[in-house]
Amino acid sequence: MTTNQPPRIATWMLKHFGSGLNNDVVLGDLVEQYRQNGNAMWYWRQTMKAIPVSFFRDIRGHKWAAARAVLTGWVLWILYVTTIFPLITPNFFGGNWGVELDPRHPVGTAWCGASRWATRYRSARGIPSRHRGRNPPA
Amino acid sequence: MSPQACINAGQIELALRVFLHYREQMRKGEYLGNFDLMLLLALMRLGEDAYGVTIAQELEEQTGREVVIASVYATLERLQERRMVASRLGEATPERGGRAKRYFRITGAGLREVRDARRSLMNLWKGLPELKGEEA
Repeated sequence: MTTNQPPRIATWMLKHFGSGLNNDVVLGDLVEQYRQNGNAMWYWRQTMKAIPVSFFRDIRGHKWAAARAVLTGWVLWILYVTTIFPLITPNFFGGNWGVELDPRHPVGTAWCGASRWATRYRSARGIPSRHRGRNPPA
Repeated sequence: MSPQACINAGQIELALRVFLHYREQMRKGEYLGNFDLMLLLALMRLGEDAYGVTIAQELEEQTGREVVIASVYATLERLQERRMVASRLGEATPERGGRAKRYFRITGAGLREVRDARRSLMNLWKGLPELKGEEA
């Protein structure tokens, strides 16, 4: 059985995750075509492909803004690791994380910190480690 | 970190701007892609009634492949930036959920590009032997 209304979730996803000036026009085309063929699978396929297409189209159309966003993200990340992270760590586990904070390697530092925190959390709750022998409780 | 190794944000910004500028310059002399050419030909065939649904249907009929409507718009927007295509917003209709259509038409520059592509392809075909089955 086919209904006149296209799948609502797919429409919602394209409406909210799709971007670009023509997003509404694309939705209109999909609705019009759906009312002709009544194929829900076709509608889902089209909407799921339309989201990444519009995303990359937007990045391509606003390369400079995208580059600035990535740069801003990295600057904020480095600021977080070098200033906020050392300020808040003393409040957890007495500040002894066993991780040397290195602003030159923010991803590595954050990863080590997160894994160390997970190990301590598991041992505090009595949850056995997934890496027996390699990650003894502190 | 030594001062020599430190690249400031201004230098990165300048390098990016130079890279994007040269890339844009190179793109102006680009050849038409396969999908670009097919879209321009579809616009020529459809005339005044060329919008997302009719273009996709035309391409599907002629090629036998499913076309992603969003890709049609992405490519047409790019061709519009290169002034090969012009568009106008049409009327909103109830069968589209009250959403407007966007009509496209090929411009003089687009026609010239299609003619150039045709001439180049014809010249390339001329030197080839007859195609028999899947072998050249």
